[in-house]
Amino acid sequence: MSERLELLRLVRSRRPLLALAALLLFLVLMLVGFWSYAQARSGGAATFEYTYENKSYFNGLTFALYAFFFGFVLLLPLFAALEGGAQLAGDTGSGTLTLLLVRPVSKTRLFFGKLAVAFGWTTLLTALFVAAALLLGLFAVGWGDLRLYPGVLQSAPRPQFLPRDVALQRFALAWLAASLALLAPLSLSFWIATFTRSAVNAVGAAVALYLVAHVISEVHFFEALRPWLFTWHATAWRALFREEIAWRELAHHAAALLGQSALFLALAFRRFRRREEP
Amino acid sequence: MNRSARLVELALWLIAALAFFGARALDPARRAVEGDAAKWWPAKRPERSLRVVTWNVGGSDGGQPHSLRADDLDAVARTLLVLDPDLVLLQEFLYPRDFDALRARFDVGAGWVRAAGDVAIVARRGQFVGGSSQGGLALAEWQFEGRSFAIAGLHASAWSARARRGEIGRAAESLLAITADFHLLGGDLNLDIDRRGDLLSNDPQRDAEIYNWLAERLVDAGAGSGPTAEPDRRLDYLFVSNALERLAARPWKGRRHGTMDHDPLVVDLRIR
Repeated sequence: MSERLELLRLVRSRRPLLALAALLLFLVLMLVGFWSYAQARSGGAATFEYTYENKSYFNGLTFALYAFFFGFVLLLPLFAALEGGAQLAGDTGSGTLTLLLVRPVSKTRLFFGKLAVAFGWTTLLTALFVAAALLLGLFAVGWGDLRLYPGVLQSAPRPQFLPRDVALQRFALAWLAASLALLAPLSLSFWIATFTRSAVNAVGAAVALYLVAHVISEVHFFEALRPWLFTWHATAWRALFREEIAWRELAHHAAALLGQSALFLALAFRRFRRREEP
Repeated sequence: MNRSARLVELALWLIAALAFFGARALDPARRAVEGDAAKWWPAKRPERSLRVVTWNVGGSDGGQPHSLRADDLDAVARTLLVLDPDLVLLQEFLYPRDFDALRARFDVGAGWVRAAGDVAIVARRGQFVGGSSQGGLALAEWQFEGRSFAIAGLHASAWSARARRGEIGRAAESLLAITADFHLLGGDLNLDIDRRGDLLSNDPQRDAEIYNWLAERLVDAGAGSGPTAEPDRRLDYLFVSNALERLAARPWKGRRHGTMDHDPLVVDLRIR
């Protein structure tokens, strides 16, 4: 009952519409960027599909992978953080949480009901984003085999080739792995949301912390800190787009993400269950 | 109710602890370092292997780059004696001063091919059957154990990705135009494909492009072996024909002397 109510409130909040609109706008801008890239770099001499490495390199799958990677790093964690702020801090600030607790429902049920709805929505949003990127790539450019090269996405130490059908299977796996990775910023936002009654403050703090962790994990001077930052493990799903998947390496990153998510959730739940509601 | 909430919280702590232990046990970097340290020692080389070393023996003193210094020669020669390579690609190595000094300390056997500037190819075994220089590029034809090798030694531009791309591309084209059983291209290419290069290159996209163009033609034998230069960049490369099997590849740490700023990259190969 509690979960159904949370789901209904999520749909009525229009946050899903906002997230979907933002992701669609991002995809369209990415497509425009890809169209103009070759022209700008070659002074108009090259076509959309041209790159230095291989004239048939660029296709709808390449576009979908690039779009998904940058969307995953820069946008999806923000929507995950938004859920924590809205679900816990927002409800606390508006008094909804107090009203909910008047009913015979435990804090444990309420907390994990909110978490389940937020995680379910984040997973669905990730699936919709992957599907939209693939479909846009299909209709705008056309699919083909996936060729990846070292350097730009830092996804492979040597050139990789995946036939189209294999690449599509890897996108499905990447969706699952990326969804697990988004549990960490979601859990962090739940924890932060237990400290404040303002959804804006909770979301702002969670987003700021995410960005700090992301920047630190990307700048190689701070290499020693990387194992402790979920942002470093979060993009490990890129390894799924190698010809031979290093499952052990992926399991390492998945375990690290699960550990950090569980840590944030334990801290969030501890504070949530102990605090006095107004 | 309170008790069940406590149990749920405890379960979360347990999951976190188990996951952290699992992540640590599965950490590929930790396992690789421990495993390789036990197995790899540069004085031991696999039987019937070809050992190639590429080393920029210059350095930087107070921000000013310099070529090999007389004070560092003994250390360089000692390292090469321990490594006992068949082939050495040297950069920041000036002719004739450095060559004569090195020859007094290290048996160069088959001789050397040098390029204008600071690049040299030195062979301890086998035999050079041809050599030429194109600007800063040294090209050599070398016979070793009855097989023919074409070798390019290069020190690419440090400051311009555009110039680097041209130098590396021309070197590879010149190398691959030589008919030989195997091709090797090595040296200080001054690009770092392992890092997000925005802070360290004026055009990381260009660096990625030329690396990938080269990697489609030859195999990066030092891939995944770690940084070779200050501060922690992989700038030194050895690209080889696919028919050469990579047995081991590693920068040998701790062999810099004075203000030298590169480690020697040691690669053991075997003909498939």
